[in-house]
Amino acid sequence: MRNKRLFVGFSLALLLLISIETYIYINNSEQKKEDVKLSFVLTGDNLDKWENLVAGAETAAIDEDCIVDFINSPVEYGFEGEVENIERQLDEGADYVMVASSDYQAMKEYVKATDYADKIVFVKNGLYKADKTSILTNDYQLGCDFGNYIIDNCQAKKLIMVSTKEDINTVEIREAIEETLKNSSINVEYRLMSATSGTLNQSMYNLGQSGLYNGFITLDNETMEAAAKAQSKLKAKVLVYSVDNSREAVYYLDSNDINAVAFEDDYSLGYLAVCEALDKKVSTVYDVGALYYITDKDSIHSEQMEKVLFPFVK
Amino acid sequence: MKRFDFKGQIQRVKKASKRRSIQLIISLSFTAVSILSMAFMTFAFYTNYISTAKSTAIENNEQVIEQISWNLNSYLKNMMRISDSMYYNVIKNLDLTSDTMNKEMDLLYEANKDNLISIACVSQDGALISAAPIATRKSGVDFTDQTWFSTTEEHIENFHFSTPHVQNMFESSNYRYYWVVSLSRSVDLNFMGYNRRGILLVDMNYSAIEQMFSRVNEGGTGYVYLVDSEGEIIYHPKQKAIYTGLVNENNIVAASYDDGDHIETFEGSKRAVIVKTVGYTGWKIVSVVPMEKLTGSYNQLRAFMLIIITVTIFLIVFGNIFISKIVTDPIRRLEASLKGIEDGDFDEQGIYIGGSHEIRHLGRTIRSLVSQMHNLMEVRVKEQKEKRRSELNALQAQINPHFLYNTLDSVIWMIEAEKYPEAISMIKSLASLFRISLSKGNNIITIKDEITHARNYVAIQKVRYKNRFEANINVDPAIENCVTIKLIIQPLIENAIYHAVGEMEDDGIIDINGYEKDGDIFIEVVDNGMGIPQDVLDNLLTEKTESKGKGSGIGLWNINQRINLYFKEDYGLTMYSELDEGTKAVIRLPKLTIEEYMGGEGYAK
Repeated sequence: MRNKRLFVGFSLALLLLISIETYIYINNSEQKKEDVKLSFVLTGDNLDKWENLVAGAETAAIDEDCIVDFINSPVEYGFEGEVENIERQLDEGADYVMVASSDYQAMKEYVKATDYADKIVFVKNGLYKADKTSILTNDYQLGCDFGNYIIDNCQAKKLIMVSTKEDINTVEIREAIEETLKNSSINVEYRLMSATSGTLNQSMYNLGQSGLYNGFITLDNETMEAAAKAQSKLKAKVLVYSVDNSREAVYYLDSNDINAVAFEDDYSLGYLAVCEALDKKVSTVYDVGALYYITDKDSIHSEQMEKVLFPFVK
Repeated sequence: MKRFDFKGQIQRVKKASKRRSIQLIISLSFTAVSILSMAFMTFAFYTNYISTAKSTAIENNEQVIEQISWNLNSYLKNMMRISDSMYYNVIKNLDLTSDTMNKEMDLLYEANKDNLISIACVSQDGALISAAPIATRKSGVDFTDQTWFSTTEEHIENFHFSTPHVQNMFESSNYRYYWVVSLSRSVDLNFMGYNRRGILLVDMNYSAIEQMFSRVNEGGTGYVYLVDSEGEIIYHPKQKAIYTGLVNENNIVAASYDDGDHIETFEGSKRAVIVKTVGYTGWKIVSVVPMEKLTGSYNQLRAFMLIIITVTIFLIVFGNIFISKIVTDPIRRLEASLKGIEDGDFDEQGIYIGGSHEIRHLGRTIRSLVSQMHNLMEVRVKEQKEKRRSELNALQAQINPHFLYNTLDSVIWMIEAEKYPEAISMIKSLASLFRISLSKGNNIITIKDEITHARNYVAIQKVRYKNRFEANINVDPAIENCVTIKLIIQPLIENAIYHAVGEMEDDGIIDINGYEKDGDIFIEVVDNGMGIPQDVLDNLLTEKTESKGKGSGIGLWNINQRINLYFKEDYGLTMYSELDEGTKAVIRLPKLTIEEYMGGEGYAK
């Protein structure tokens, strides 16, 4: 009788033990974690202007359990197009959506209204809450440093600062440059230009030709291209300082059509955005500094700048 | 439902551990041996398996590296062949003024343009002699400022491979910049019959190297990168992240490693590093596999082994407990039955016989021993009893010589006084006294005979004491046929005469009563003497080794002992006394007839 009880007791204990261990075993067997799905919704008609950011994000995703997708939201669809893309990505199971919006204020309101704060990370432009949900270049610092560079390297007396839009990407930089140059011998004047390509090119040429200004400070890609084109036509060269990170900007700089470029490091932005979503600590994030570079013809082919400015061509 | 007595179980285990029971010893030692053996085997198997698996993984990576090394070598050899071909077949044989050099260079470029970005020949003073594809030198570009130029000028006898850099010497359309690895060498130029020195530059397409490595890095564990002899990164899957400071790499240290596998700790994580040097260039292919990834796939094996081990240990513990219980249960039961013997229970049928052959044999042997011991003890006890009885009977049978002398003296006196009837009566009484004393050697007689004996004794003593006391014998006839031990009343009467009424003047009374009460027989001898002090009374029935003369009480103890020897302890002699009132001696006997006694009724021992 006692042996029978002993048997029953041990059998029950053994069953319990095996059940617990099977549970542990099954949990341990999940070698492959479920991938984190990350989607980048980037404003633009294609992803060309985001190639550095895409490369950075893809590099960060190497060896990580995540799938990164890149969606461009055509400019003509504006903010609504971006929202549609965000919602589609979330519906399709994206864990996080990284947004570089054309209309930061509207996007901020949208995130607030939909309570997507935990799902959306602002990249490149815009700051929603704390730094936790935003990966940004320090635009103000960029503006100050670029202003100081101009003071140190430019003999001009009067420069005209131009952009085709006044938005989060240009306003803060503009203000920082103005503030920095205020205490120098260089006068700077700001002018909002037409976004229409032909009009812009002509306006820029006219401004360069007028002789009223010693050069341009361009705050966006459109004005940078227009200034470079104008430069090639102008009989008397003007100074061109651009805030841009397109491959065209590098080309124009290398071709002496522009004098210096403040280059936002989209590669690091993309890299850090993925790290942020994966909650991975990047020990060197503070070494990266303000995530921008200021370069000119002399330094463009320096060992450091060459590797940062020129994307690998496959 | 009966609740599990957990505390009780713990107490049992504690008790067992203190007693060091066989079951505990068997369970513990078997369990310890089994677990140790299993742990050793598991450890040996596991470490061997992991070690083999790691070696296999490292070997696999070594093979991958070998393959890349071979591919890279082929690629570099090809580039060197192009350079050789250009130099030995074209440059050496042609005059610089000839147009043929451009054509030959174009042909060579076209044939290898998948892997080439450009071929150029530059004079020692930095003038561009020829280039393919045909391109315009960028304004402001001075070839003599280029690293490849200065390196080649320093060591003119060798091939020189540069680190990757942007090809920025020639104008390009569509904003494209190519990453190249420059292969440069010093060449002898033939200019209108004069020898001049120049540099032949072959810009290899970096993407060919990049693709070679990225294909390897797409799958598998870890990653592979390429450094030059100084540790400068030529290829790394996270090259740009390293340049921008987002990621760190141990490339400088890796460049100092010899070919083979190494274990290094970098940024707190351990990793296996395999290094292979590429010929001609001094470049090193470095494969890095984090140890956690190398061993990560064995988590499942570890979990599985853990399950097997714990379940096996559980089964071993259970098996050991169960087997030791089966083995020791008969021993424990045998031990329990021996405890009964320890307590004086010699019931041999109570000895457990069961379990294995050895235990059964042991049980049977013990049972046999107990049986023999029991018999021996019974015999011994019987012998002792008999001996005791004999001693007591012998003691009791001694007739006080003074009594006999005085009785005979009284008889002589009666005859001399011609009191023949009294003399005859006394002699008859004496004769009857002796006859009953002998009783044909029987110790058990009827109460009737014992009373007759007492009556004769009283008659003799009354004569001797000249009727100074009165004796009343009053016995229930119903008990006369019941048994008693002989000569137990007479000593009491003797005591009453000697110590109580014998010294009194005419008013001494001895009452001898016999009756039945509560199924037993009571015989009282009551006197009205001066009584016995309590301290003396308390010692009257205690054992005496020798007689200390008159009043030593050996007679009373003897009576009590004899009754106890023949009957149960419930029976015997009890003394009551009060000073100046008298003494009462009460004998209690079982009510048994001779036949009942002989038939072994339960009162008798």
